[in-house]
Amino acid sequence: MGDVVVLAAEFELHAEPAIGIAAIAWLIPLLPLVGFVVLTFAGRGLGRRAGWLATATSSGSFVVAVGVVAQLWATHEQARTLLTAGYTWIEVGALRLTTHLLIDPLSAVMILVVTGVGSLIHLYSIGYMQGDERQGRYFAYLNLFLFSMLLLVLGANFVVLFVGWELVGLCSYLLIGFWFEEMPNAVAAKKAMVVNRIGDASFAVGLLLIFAEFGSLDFAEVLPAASDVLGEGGAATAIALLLLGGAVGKSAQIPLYVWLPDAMAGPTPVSALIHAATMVTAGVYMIARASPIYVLSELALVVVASIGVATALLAALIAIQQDDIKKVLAYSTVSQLGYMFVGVGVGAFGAGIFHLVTHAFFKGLLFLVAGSVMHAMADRTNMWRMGGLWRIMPITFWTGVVAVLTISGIPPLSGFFSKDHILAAAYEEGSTAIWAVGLVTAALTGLYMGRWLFVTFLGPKRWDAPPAGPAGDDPHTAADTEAASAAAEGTRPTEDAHAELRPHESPPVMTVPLVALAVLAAIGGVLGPTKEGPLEHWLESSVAHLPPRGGATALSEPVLIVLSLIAGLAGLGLAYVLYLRPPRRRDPVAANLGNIALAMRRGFWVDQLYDRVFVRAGGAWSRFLVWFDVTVVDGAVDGMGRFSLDTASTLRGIQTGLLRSYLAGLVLGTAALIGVFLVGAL
Amino acid sequence: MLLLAQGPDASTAEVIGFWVFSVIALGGGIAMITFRNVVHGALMLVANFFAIAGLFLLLDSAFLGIIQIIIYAGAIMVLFLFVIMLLGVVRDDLLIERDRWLRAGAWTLGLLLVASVAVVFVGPYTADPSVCGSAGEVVPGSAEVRCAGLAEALRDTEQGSVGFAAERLFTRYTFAFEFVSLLLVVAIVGALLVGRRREPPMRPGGIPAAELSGGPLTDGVARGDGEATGPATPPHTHREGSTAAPRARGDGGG
Amino acid sequence: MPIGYYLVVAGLLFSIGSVGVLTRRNAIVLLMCVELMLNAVNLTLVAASRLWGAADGQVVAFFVIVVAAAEVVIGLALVVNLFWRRGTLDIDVASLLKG
Repeated sequence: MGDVVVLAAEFELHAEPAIGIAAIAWLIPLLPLVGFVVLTFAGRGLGRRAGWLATATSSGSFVVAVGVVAQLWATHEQARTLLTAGYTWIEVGALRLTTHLLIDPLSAVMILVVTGVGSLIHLYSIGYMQGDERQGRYFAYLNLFLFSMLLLVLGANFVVLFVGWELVGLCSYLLIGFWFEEMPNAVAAKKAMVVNRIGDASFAVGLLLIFAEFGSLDFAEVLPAASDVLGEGGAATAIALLLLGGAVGKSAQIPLYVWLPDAMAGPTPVSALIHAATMVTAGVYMIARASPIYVLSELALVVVASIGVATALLAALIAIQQDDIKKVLAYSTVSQLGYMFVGVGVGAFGAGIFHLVTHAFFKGLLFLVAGSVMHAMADRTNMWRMGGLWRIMPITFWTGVVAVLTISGIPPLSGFFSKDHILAAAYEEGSTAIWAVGLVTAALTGLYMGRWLFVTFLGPKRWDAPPAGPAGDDPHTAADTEAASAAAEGTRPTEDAHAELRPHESPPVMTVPLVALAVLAAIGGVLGPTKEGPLEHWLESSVAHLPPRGGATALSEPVLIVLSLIAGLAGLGLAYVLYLRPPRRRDPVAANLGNIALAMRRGFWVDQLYDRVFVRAGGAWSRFLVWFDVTVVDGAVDGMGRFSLDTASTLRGIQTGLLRSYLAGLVLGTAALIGVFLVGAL
Repeated sequence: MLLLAQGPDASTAEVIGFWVFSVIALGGGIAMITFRNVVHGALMLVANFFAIAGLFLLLDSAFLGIIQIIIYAGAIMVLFLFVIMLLGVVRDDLLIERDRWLRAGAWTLGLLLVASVAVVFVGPYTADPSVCGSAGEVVPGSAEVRCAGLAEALRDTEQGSVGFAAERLFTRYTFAFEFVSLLLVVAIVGALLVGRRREPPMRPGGIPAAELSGGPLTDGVARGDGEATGPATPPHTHREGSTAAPRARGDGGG
Repeated sequence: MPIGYYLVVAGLLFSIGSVGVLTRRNAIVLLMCVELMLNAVNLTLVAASRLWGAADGQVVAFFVIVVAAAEVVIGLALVVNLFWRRGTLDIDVASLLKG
């Protein structure tokens, strides 16, 4: 792959201690950690103030982050990689790990997104979680989540990144299962944990391989040396694929995406946090961070892009037939993450990160909108039992419109630019197939988001109607929907879903973040109006670059732009025709496409497949292990115990307590010794 | 007899003395362990000690012979008799191993011990030249070891047995000598502590020292206070939980 | 008189002592048997002293006597204590260490 430009020199050049505001960058992760500790021990008594405290700590982080980034901005382009001194954490043999924080353009973007969007979600949560008994714990977890993610993006070596990586997984478990009284929530939390573990194992092996190859885990030592140490051999591919395994788990890509749709079980702001600011972006960030390794392996990049595009398409298809407003968004996240993977997979790391940022804005916004709707609808999530909400909740509706247009790729909103950059990069890099599928997916995105918006907010009021399945004639579909909605509504053990509904606009504490995010989603495009936009320029020193290759050039850039615009509009238009004119009470797609729609609705039975193949096989294996443990391992241990007991109870007879018997032993021993001499003498 | 047909250096007086004293010593020993009356046994032991003192004399160790009589026969055995009188237990008819086979085993073991010792270690020294009446003789069985001969040495140094031993004692073994005296002091203090029966004297404040110290020994000691001498009832509950055992076996002292 | 004869006598005395220790249960007799065994050892030492024409054996025997005296003092104190606690001199009664 020819000459590879790595962030090499800069790292070693600027490993000097950070100065100015960057010198207190450790405050960024520390503040949420302090919030977590305080809320853990004192959160119970704080009540609603817990939320304000948590918001204050995350906002504090945001302020510091803004200061740090501002300082970075003012610094010379070549000197934007700083190390904030931590302490030596582990020093064993050749392994030396520090807790230094790495502040470079890439982590700067990430900390801004994480703390910024995170703070808005904190603020929103104050309203959303009002009245919950365990607010203290909730906000403690939220702060811990933020801390973990900040640790992940700021760590200056792979191990600190991995610690954050694992902590993020832990937090997702804690928050998805926050209302653990309900079985489905606990199961969903467990699923997220287990599926993530699979990826994490791969990631950990990747780390070991890195250490084996480089003898270090510091970014500053590994990344600049990547091309020298690894060359273009199999080691680079192996490391890249193993790391990808972790990214696939954390960022919910095929085949490990199944945990994310179930993660809806948590409180909605948590979904927003997981999908927008933290957690799922970790995989994309990690690949971008490790880009010097990825650019060494063509195969790994192809795998990344292929997984990304396949996931994007699959999730978009599934999203079309989901009735739960949060599930649509969940699959949409999976799909959008697929885009990001495409971006980093075709070497457009800047574009991938750009989409990560805009996605954080609009997906965070979408989830907060959904949360606002649920707040108004007594935690109802079935969109077919909503409708006509736009008059009642204008702020929620209009911010939702902005979000939907953004994600559908309508200019001049930010989603248009970021998605277009990725597709254009894919096309120009030569991956025409990926580009084509991405374009189709863009149309599908418009379709499912349009459906989501139209069915939820527009059309006739349906919330008083008896729960009617979208395809009432189809018995199994109806039953499925019923079960799904019942399960979804059970996510929050509060009011009876059938109690009288009085939809209302949410309080300001919730609408302010909505508006803020809507503005960000709308104007986010300024970060990258063109492919050489400010953000990608900014990131240049942090990520590796693929040398330009002669890809497809049949279509010029304006044509590409127009095509992707058409795709988005087509999707929205189709949704308009299908769901708004005329307004529907049930889903026409489900009624007309039959089994195909059912397959989409059921997520192509992937969950069932995994259950058959992995869960049951794992169960059988586990049962064998239990048997082995009980009979062989425990048997051996118990046997040892029994053996000692038996031996002891036999031998205790010797210990008569009679002085003379001991003396007899002494004399006998003496006689025996003399006997030995005797034998020797003869 | 074979034994009487000694070499030229074995004086007749020594042979006679040896046999007399040996018979007395062995007889006293056997009598001691077979007599059921403890006082009789103790007296037999005194006889045994005297005989051993005689053997010491025969072995040109007059000093030790005297010590043996003064300390062993005089002091130690008197101590034994005192204790026997103090406790008032003169018979221990039943305090013999009950199991006949065990007893026989013990005797067999003892004889075995003697036999093996005799064969392995003593054997080489029973030949005539081992008398070592004069220095320079070679110990039979080992060509290198030279026989010094104590009588010769005494004669050469023109010292008595006392001076001969004392010279060693106060030169090479000074440290051990001093250390042994320390041991005696420790033994006296220990004996006082272990053998103490009554409450220690009151402290000026009127509080028994035992209560202050609360040592483990005070427990039993304090309890035994009321009962004077005698083996009366084995006092109290012992932790073992089977205090009745000795009485049930019917061999409680007295 | 060959030294071996003294040694045989000493060995016999030692064995008599050990047999006494094994067959008698009276704590005082036990102690006396131990004294007998110590004397047997002393006899060996003194006999060796004469054999080598050196005073070391006598000195060690002297030390043994002193140690024996100390041992008797402590031992008799223990016997007295045992008698006061258990009301018997039977050494087998003191079998708290039974396993």
